[in-house]
Amino acid sequence: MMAPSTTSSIMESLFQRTLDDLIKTIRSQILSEPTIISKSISEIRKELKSTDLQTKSTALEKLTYLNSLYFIDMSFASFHVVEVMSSPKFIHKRIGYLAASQSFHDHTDVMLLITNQMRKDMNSGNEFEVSLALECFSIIANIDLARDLTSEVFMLLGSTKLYVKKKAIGVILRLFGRYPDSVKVVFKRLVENLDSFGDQNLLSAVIGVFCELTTKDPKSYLPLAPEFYRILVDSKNNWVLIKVMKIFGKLGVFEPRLAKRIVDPVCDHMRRTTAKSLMFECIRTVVVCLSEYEMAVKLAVEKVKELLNDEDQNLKYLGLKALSILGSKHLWAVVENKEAVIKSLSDADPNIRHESLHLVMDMVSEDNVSEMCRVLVNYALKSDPEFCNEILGSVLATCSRSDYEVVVDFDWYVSLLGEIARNPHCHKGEEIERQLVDIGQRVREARPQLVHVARDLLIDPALLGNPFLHRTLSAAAWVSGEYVEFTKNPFGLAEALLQPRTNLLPPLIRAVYIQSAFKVFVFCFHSFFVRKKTTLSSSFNDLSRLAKREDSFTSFDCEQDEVLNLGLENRTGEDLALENGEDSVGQSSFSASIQNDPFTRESINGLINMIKMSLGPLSGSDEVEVQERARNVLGLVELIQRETSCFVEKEGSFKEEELQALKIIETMHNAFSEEIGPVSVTSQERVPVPEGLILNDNLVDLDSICGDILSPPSSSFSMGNRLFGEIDTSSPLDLQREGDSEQSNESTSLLAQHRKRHGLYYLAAEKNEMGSNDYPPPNDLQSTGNINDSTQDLLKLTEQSLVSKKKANHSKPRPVVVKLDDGDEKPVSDVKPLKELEEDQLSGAVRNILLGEEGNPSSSQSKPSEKSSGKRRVKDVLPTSEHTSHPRENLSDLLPEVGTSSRRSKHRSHGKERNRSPKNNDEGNQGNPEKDKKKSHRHSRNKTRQRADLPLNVVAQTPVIPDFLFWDYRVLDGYSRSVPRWGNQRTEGGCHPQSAYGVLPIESLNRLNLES
Amino acid sequence: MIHFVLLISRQGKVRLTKWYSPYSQKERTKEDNELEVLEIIHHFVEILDRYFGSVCELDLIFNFHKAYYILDEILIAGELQETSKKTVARLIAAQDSLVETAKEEAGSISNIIAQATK
Repeated sequence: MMAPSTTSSIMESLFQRTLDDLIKTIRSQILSEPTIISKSISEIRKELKSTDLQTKSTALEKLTYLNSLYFIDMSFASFHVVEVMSSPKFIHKRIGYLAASQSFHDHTDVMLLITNQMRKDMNSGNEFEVSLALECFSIIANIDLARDLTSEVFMLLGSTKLYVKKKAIGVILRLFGRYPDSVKVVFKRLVENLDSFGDQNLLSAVIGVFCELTTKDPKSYLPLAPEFYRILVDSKNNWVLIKVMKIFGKLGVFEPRLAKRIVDPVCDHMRRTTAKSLMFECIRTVVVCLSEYEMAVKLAVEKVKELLNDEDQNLKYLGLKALSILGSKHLWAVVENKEAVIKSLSDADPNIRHESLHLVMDMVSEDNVSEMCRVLVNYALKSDPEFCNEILGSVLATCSRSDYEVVVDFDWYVSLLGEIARNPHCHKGEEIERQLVDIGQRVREARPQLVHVARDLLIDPALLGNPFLHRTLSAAAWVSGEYVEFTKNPFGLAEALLQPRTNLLPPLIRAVYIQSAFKVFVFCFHSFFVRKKTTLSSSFNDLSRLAKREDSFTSFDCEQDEVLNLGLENRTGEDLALENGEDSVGQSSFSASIQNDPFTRESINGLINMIKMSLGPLSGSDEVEVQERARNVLGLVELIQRETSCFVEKEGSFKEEELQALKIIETMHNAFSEEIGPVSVTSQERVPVPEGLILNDNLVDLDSICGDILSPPSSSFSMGNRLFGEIDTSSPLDLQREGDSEQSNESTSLLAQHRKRHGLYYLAAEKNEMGSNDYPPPNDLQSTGNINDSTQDLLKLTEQSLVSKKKANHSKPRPVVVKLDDGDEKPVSDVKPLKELEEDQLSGAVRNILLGEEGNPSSSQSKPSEKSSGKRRVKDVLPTSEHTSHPRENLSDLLPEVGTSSRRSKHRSHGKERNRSPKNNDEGNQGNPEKDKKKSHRHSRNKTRQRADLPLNVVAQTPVIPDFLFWDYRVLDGYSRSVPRWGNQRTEGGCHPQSAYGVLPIESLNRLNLES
Repeated sequence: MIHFVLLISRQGKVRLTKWYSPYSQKERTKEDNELEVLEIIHHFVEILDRYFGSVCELDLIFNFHKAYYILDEILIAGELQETSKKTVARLIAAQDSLVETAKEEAGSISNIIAQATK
């Protein structure tokens, strides 16, 4: 009779859908994928509960499939995973382990249940079962699992089966990572495997582990360098060589003498190998730690050249990459390969183009910057938009690097900025904006050209259509308002700022335009008064200091005619036509009169009219920002006009009203004439906190009260620096400021600035879309298909510019760039990186073993003679101080072999050393005779010191250390200090006094004894 | 080390996912020998080729677990562990035969009857 449950289990296993069935169903796409998956999941849930292991494991296999490829959560099945793992049959076990390694993580709650099963499998006679457990361990081990299975891994490291041993080595990385204390147990066996030349896979596994360990903490592994060196010289296996070279790349940085030793073998490999990967690793090693050795670098550059000229895109990319690392120290290497680099600029692969662009930018120097930039900016015109912006971005970044280091001729650079902005694909508006304003503030000499460029930008119709450039236009508007005194044609500027097309701009930027137009107006009016005053030679004491201002425009008097003609052509040509022809009589007379003197009554009248006409409609704008500015300006203009109405009418001496107007104008002019300079990033920190202000006051309550009032501050408005400039009184820009203004002026200026800032702060700008359609599209500079041709041009052009000739036309000295000498650099935080803290535990343990270092100050103090115990190669296992509390039995349980070795006497150990075959030692020492000589020196010195110190130590230690530990310590002390250190590694502490169950460093002792 | 293995078909379908360690943003910039990794991938593909006989996507779809088992013989803890293609083939074959015998046993009618009458 069949029991009902059995029947069902048979039915289940007979009619269960297999993995193949599931995959076929999903692929057949009769139903939608999610439907099938959710259906099969509910099926699987049922099947998992089956008592039949076959059914269960098939269900689990299906679930694993869904999990790994369709990312279905399978945590609900974790207990079933454990069940399948513990099946006696390999076929099931394998499925279980696969499922576990795919789905378990550190916090899976059934983790505790698998410890025993894994232990059992690791002890299994079937090597494939062991392999399953190890593979799974390497992926899922958490701290508990790592701790509990340390002894198993240790045991497997000694396995006679290479297959198992190799995997055991592989899991060590995970073991150390999760349970650093395991280092004390297994490290010695790991190091022993460095000698396993018999099996390349074993060696490769060990080196792989060390490579990772070294990456995390190079210093700790310096003592193993001789072993690595031996492998570097002797190994023929490329996989191993690559890893060893990686290790040396890390170690060489800390130990310059090591670099000297490896330079020859590395070069040998580089010359001999046919494997590109190994060659690449050699190149990288040279770049990273052998860049002092010219011969090696030359060879590397030669090899890089091979890579660059290879057909394979990957190799070409890597060649460029290697070159860019080399370039930081050896620019000649880049220059030597410039042809290939520049050719790659037109490569189809964007990564290659990107790399080569970087390299080209690296080659930029003071001498070739203008030519290189010209070539690149022209090339950008022909590139696809993305790469074009990449080029423009790197040109901008390179030229502005450390306060425009490479730029000598700022007039040129400012024009270049204008040119970049005109590139139809340009998306770098914000960067150009920043630089325009920055140069204006930092470089006095560049201002005239800057204003010129700004005006050109303002009147360029193509730019308005590119929304990415609106920020640039806003900077141009600001620059033309701020530095209006440097222009030759202020009226032209005003027109550019007031042109009707500005309605294409977003309101925030229009606001800047309006403000700038007002600044220009104030300047014109003020100049007019000053001029009038001088012609009438009236005596106004207040105005006497304004004579300074005169300097700036006396210069243009001589040139004014031609410039103004140009400006007027422009104006009458395009702008006036748009102004509805209203007031045409006034306009024409205005332009006519300008021919002789820019600041005539007519011209001023014309300006006033223009402002009224273009801002008038805006006073009803629904954009409050624009509306407010327009109204402000109109109000002020109205005021001035009223005061001066009579005087504008007739020529003659100043009247009472005119004086009034003069004062208003002067006040406003003063408000704008204060110079704005760059501000140090630390300037705010230097403002002392006022007394009684508690900065740490909790203002949380405030949030609830005015939470909806506070809006996020606009993140980047670069022109509002004026206020900070005021605070930053200690900055050198003070020197540049003109005389101290009166108190009243200062306050008005502050008020004006505040208004400006404030206005821009509290509004979120919306893009003004209207009218953007009827605007002419930006110049369509069609991307020429013939990129190859252009590359040729590029090549030819750069050919010349890259020759490091001194540029002949250094006629102009480089202008002063205002820098803040008090450190623009960001404050360096001395917080220890988190990762370092994490690594501390592991590296500490390793250091204890390899260097005999001990952090415990008391022990190092009591044993000063042990300074030299940073040994070359010590294979003993030293417990750390926290370990001393562990019961001794526990540890010797884990390490039977180690336990006995601890009781070896000093005498015995020496005897054993002598028995070692001398051949071995010779082999090991061949490579580094020089080093060994040093060692033997140290050795003898240590010996004598040891003799003297030993009795002292014993006395000193007696009261502190428990009896049983003390005995061990004496034993160890005897040899640990007779071993000299390798290299110049200086260890702070000494060997730990309780280094009880160490294994004798037989080999290293042996070598040394033979020498001495 | 290799932090993860993803096998993605030309159509963008994921065919194999294997994680060796979490991969932080910081580590992404870490320099590794790209060519070496490329060679490991090549090594894996060659072994798959040998095992399936000119491997194609369907092979991996229907034998996804086998692809995992093969990968497990090539990499451990993100490091290459076996450089010999022959050895990997031999190891996989040995494990397959273990599985096959178990399957035959389980599939035999006598076994089913034995199970049913248990």
